[in-house]
Amino acid sequence: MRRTFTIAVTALLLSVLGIATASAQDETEGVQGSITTQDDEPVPEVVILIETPDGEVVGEAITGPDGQFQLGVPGPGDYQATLQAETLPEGLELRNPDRATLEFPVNSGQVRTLLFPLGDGSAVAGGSALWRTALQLFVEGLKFGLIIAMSAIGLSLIFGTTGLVNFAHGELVTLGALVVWGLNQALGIHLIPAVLIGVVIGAFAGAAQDRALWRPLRDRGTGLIAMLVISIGLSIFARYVFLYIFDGRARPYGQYAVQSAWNIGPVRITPKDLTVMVLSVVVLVAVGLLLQKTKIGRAMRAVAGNRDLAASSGIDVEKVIMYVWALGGALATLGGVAFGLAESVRWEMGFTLLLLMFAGVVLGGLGTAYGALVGSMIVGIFVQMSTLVVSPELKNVGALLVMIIILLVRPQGILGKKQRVG
Amino acid sequence: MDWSLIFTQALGAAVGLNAILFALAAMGLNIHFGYTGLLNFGQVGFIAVGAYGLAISVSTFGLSAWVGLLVGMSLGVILALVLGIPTLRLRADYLAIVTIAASEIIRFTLGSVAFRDISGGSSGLQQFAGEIRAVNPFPPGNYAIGPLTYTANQLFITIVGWSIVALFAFSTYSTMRSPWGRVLKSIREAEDAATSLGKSVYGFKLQSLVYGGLAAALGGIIVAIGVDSVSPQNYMTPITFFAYLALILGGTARVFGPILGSMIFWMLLSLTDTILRQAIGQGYIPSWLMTSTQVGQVRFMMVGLGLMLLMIFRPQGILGDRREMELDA
Amino acid sequence: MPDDNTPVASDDEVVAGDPSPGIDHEAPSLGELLPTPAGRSGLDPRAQAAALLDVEPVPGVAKPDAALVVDNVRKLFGGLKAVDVDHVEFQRGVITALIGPNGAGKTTLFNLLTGFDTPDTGTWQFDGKELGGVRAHKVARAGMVRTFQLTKALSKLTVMENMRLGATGQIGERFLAAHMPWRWRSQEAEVTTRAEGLLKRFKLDHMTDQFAGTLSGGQRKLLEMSRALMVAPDVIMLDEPMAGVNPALTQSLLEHVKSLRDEGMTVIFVEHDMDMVMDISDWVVVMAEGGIIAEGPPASIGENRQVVDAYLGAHHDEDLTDEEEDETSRPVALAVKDRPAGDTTAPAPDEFLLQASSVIAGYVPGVDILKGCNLELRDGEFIGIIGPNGAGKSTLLKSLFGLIPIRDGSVTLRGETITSAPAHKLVAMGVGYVPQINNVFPDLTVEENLQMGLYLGTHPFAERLDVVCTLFPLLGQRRKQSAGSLSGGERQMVAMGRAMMSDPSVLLLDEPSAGLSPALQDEVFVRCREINAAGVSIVMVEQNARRCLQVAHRGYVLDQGTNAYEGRGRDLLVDPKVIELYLGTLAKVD
Repeated sequence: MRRTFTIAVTALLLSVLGIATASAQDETEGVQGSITTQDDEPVPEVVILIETPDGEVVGEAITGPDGQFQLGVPGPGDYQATLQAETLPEGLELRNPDRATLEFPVNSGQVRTLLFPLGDGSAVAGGSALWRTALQLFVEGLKFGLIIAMSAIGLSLIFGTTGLVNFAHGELVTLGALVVWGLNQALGIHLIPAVLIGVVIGAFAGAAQDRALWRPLRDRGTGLIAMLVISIGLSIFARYVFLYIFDGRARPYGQYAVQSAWNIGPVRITPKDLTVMVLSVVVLVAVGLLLQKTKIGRAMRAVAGNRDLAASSGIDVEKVIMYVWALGGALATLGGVAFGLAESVRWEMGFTLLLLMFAGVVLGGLGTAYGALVGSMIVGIFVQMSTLVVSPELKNVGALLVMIIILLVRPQGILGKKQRVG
Repeated sequence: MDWSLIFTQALGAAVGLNAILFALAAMGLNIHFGYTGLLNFGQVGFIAVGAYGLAISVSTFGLSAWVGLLVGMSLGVILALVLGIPTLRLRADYLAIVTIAASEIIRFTLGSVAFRDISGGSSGLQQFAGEIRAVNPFPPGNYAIGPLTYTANQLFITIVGWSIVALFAFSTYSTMRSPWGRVLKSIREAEDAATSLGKSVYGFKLQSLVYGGLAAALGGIIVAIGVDSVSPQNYMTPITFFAYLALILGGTARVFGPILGSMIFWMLLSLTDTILRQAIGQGYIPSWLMTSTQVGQVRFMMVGLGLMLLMIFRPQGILGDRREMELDA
Repeated sequence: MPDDNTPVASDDEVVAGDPSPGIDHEAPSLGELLPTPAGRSGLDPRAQAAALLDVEPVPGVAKPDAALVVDNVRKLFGGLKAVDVDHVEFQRGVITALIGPNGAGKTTLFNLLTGFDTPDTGTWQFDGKELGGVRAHKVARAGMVRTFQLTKALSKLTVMENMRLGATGQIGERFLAAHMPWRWRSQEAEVTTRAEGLLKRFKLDHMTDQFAGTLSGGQRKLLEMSRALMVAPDVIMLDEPMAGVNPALTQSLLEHVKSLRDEGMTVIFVEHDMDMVMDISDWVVVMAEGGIIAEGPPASIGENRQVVDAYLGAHHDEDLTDEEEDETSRPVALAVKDRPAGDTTAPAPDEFLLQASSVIAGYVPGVDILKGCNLELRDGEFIGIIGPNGAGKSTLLKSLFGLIPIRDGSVTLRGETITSAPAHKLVAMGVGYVPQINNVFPDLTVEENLQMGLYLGTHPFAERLDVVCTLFPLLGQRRKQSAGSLSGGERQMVAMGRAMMSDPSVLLLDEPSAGLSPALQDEVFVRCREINAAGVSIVMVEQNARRCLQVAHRGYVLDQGTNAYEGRGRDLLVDPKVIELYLGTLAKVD
C-alpha cells in the first residue's frame, strides 16, 4: 500500500512535468550508435555490452555491416556500455582506451547515441590529442553557438523593442523545427524547400502572435511582469500542443540525417554541420546588414533605442514591432531546423534551448542584436569546451555558472553600456 | 461516468501531498513576489535542496533523518543567501535569470552520473525517511476520513504537512501585520522611499528570500518523507511556474491565496484527468481526438491557457481586490 | 531631471473640502511629536539665521555653524558634468534653498549627498561625521532624510502605514520579534500616536485609513514630508516640495516648512517657485551647469547678475539684435517667404494651420494635467508657450503630437481633425517634433540620425541634407560621429536637424534651450528664428521666457494646465501679470 501511494504521488508529479510515465511500457528507450574508422569505414561485428550500474547485463549490441548498432533497454535509468575491445579488427583500437566504458542516463522515450571513436592508436594520449580534442570541441561549440545565436537574436530584439522577456520564444524555435519536419516528412518535400517555406510560416507565426496577443496587451497597458507571466503560460500551452500533436518521440529530418564525417585538417565535421555553420554565418551577416543598412533595420534599432523619438521621425512603431516579431519567428525557425539537424526534432527542444538563449542574450547585453550574437557564441563554445574538464552531462551547468558570474561582475553584459542612474 | 470516484479523487488531490508541496512553494513565492516584489524563478531549486538535503544526509552519509531534516532546511537558507547576496543589489530581472539558472544547475548536478555516489544519479535516492516515519502515532491500518481512505503513514504525513502549512500561514499572517511585513511591502511599492526612511532594503530583501525559500525547502522535505524517495525528474523548472499559477490563482499578497490556489490547482488537475480518462474509456471522446496517454498533455495545455487567461482577465485571482491591484504610484 | 512632465494629481478636491488650509495649531507641535536629537536641543533658529547676516555672499563661503559641509563632489554622466561642487556649507537650523535652471544638477547633488548615487570624487561631512560612501539608508538613520521630486507614496499601504514605516528603531522590524506582537505593540502604539499628531498637523487625518494611492498629488507631497518627519531627522532635504501643488495648498506647505525650521530642524530644499524661495529661505545657493555659481541671502540673489543670467536667460535686457543675428546666421537655401526675419508682428489671421481646443490630457488615469488648453497657430507664425514648472507646457506639446492620448477636446491641422492621431501619421502630414530630453539616437551617427528624420522618404536625402547642413553647418562636419558623443548643444542641433529633414510645415520644439550655456541658448534661438523665416511655423515650449518671447510672434502663458494669458511676444514680455506669475518676486527685485 505504501508503495502504491509512493508510485501514485510520483506519477502525478511526473505527469505535471509532461513526462509520460505510461511510455515506460512502450519500450522506446534504447541505445544506438555506429562504429567507424577514422576514414569512416564501417566496422562490423563489434560487441558492446550494456549493463545496469549494478552490473546486471541488459544485453549485447553488435554492429551490422554498416557499422550501426542498436539495442532497447528496459526503461529510463542509468546504464553503462562497454566496447569489447577484443572484438575490434586488428590494428584498430579506441582513440581513448580510458573511454571503453561509458556511463550515461537514459531518459524516458530517449534513444541514447553512444560514441566510441576509433583511432589507429598512434594519437593516443599526449598533448597533441588534447589539443585536437579541444579544437574539435571548439568547432562544435562554434556550431552550437551559431544555432543559439540564430534563435536568440529574435528574443533580444523583442526585448529591446517592447521590453518583453519572452519565455515562449523557445516554442517559436520548436514550432519552426516541427513545421519544417511536417513539410519534410509528412508531405515529402525535400528539406531545402521545406526550410524556405518553414521560414515564411515562422515569420507569419511571429507576426501573428504579436498582433493577436502582445499588441492588444500593450494597448491595454499591461505591465511587463504580467506579460512575462503570460508568456510563461503561452510557453506551457504551446509545448503541450506540440506534444499532443507530435508525441514525445525524437524525429530526424528526411535528408542529411546520417552522414559520414570529413576530415578538415585535424577537425572532423559532417557535411551537414559544415553547411549549417556556413549558412548560419550567411544568415547572421544578412541580419546584420538588414539591421545596419536597410530602412526597416534602422527603424528597428531606432524603436529599440528610443520609442518616442522613433515615432517622431515618422516611424510606425507598432508596425516595426510586428516586423521584429516576424524576423524573430523566421530566425527561430532556422535555429530550430539547425538544432533539429544537429540533434533531433523534439517537442521541448526549444524549451531546452531557452535558458541557453537567455544566457547568451544576458551575457551579450540585453536588447542588442550584436550582444546576443557574441553572447550566444560564448555560451555555445563554453558548453562544448567545458566537456574537456567536466563530464558532458554537466556541460550546461558550466555555461549557466559562467553566465551567473559574468552577471555579477559585469551586470550590463559584455557589450552592454552602463545605464545612467537617476 | 463514475462521478463519485471523480469527486473523491479530486478531493484527495486537493488535500494531497502535492497540494501541500505547492501550497508551501507558492506561499514562499508569495513572500518573494507578492509582498516584496522579488522575481524568484527558481523556487523548485529550493524544493530540491530541501528534499535532497534530507535524502543525502541519510542515504549517503548515514546521518539521522532528524539531522537530515535540519540539513535540508539549512540548505534552503544557504541557497537563498548564495543567490541573494550577490544579486539583490542588481536589477530586479537579474534575480529571475540567476534563480532559474541556479535551479537548473541544481537539477543537472543532482542527476548527473558524476555525482551518482552522492545523489544517486537519475534514479535518485530512496528509503531514507524511516526514522521519521517511525514516530507515526497512528497504528498501522487503513483510516477512512469522509470518502477518502488513508494508510496510517499517509494520514500521518498529510496531517504533518498541513500542520506545517498552517504554521507557515500563521507566520505569514503575523509577520505581514507586523512592522517587518510593512517594510517588505514598502520595498515592493517604492524601494527608494524605504531607503530614504532608513530601511536597509538589501537586508530585508535577503530576509524575504530566505523566509520564502525556507517554505519551499520544507515543502520538498515533506514530499520526500511522504514518498520516501527523491529523483531529479521531480524538480524541473515548470514546477516553479505552476507554483506561480497557484499563487496568482488564489491571489497574490493574500495569506490564504497560495493555499487556496494550490488546492484548487490540484483539484482541477485531478478533475480534468479523471473526467477525460473516463470519457475516453467510455467512448465519449473518440480515440482519434485523444487517447488516454494524451490526457496529461491536454490538461497542461489547459494549465498554460489558464495561466494566460487568468493574468489577462483576473490578475487579482480569487481572493484579490482588482481596485487595489490597479492602485499605482 | 526636473521638467514639467511630472504626472501630478489635482488638488482641487483637497481645496474644496478644506477652505482654510494651513497649520492646525491645535495639533501638537513638532517638538512634542519628535524625539529631540542631541544636536538640536537648545538651538535658536533666529540666532542661527542672524549669524548668517555677517556671512559674505560668495560661493563656497564658510558658515558660522555648518551642519553639512561638502568638498570637491563631482559626478560625470557620459562625459557630461552633472555635478561639480568645490565647496559648500549649509548652516544649521535655517532654511537653505537650492535653486538653478533645469539641468543644473540640483537633484543629482541631492542624490549624491543622501547616498542614492555615488560621486566620482568628493567628501562631505554631516555634523562632523564623514558621509561619503555611506549607504543611503544609513544616511537617513544618521539624521539626514530626503524626499523625492516624483513623490513616492506607497500606494497599496494606507496613509497610516506609510507614516508608521518612517519610525526608526522599531523592534517589530526584526524578523523573529515580528512574530511576537507583545514585544512591539506598545512601541507601535507610540509610533501611531506620533503619526496621528503629524497627520493632524498636516491635515491628512481624515485620510488615515485610505490607501496612499488614492491621494492627490498635493496630499502625496504632504504625506511624504510628514513621513520623512517620522524619522525624526536633523536635516530634511526636500526635492521640489511645491512642484505641481495647487497654489491654495502652497501656502500651507510653506507654513509647514517654516515650522520645521522654527522647531530646530535644518531644511535644504530644491525649488523652482521663486516666490516660495524668497518667502521662506534664509539662505539661497544657486547652481548652474553642475557648479555653485552664487550664494547669499535671498535679497542678494535677485541682484546677482550671474544668477539672473543663468536662471532667466542670458543678457535678458539685451535683445537678440539683428547684427548679432547677421553675425551668426548663414544663407538659408530655402525660399524665404516675404516676411523678413526679425519681424515680430503676426501675419494676417487667415485660416489656422494648427488649432487645439479645450484639450484635456494626462498620464495617469483619472489625473488630468491639461484641463482645457487652447492654442492657435497661423501659417508662418512662431508662437512660444511659457509658464511655471508643472504648468503643462510639455504635456500640451506631447498631446498635440499624439504621444499621450487626449481625453477631451480636439486638435486640427489645416482643418483636418488629428486628435490623438499617432505620431507617425502627423510626421507624414508635415509636423516635426523635437523632444526635450533623449532627443537623439545616441548609438547612431549624426548622418544616420538625419536619415531617420527622412524615414518616410518624402524627399531626396542629399537635397534635404544640404538644407539642414546650411542651417546647422556643424552637422556637416560631424556627420560620421556618433550622436552620443556630442555635447548638449550639438545634440540639440542634431535633434532640430533631424526634425527639419522631413521638410515640416509645423515644428514643435520642447525646451530647446534646456541645459545649454547662455551662448548656446542664443544660438538655438537664432536658429529657430531662421527656420521660421524659411517658412516653417513653430510652436516652442520654453523655460527661458524672455528669449522665447523675443523670438516668437505671439506667446501663450500656461498655468495649472489652463491658458492664463496670451498676446504678442513683446507685450507679454513687459506685462507685469506675466512676470509676476512666471518669475515671482525675483522679477521685482530685478
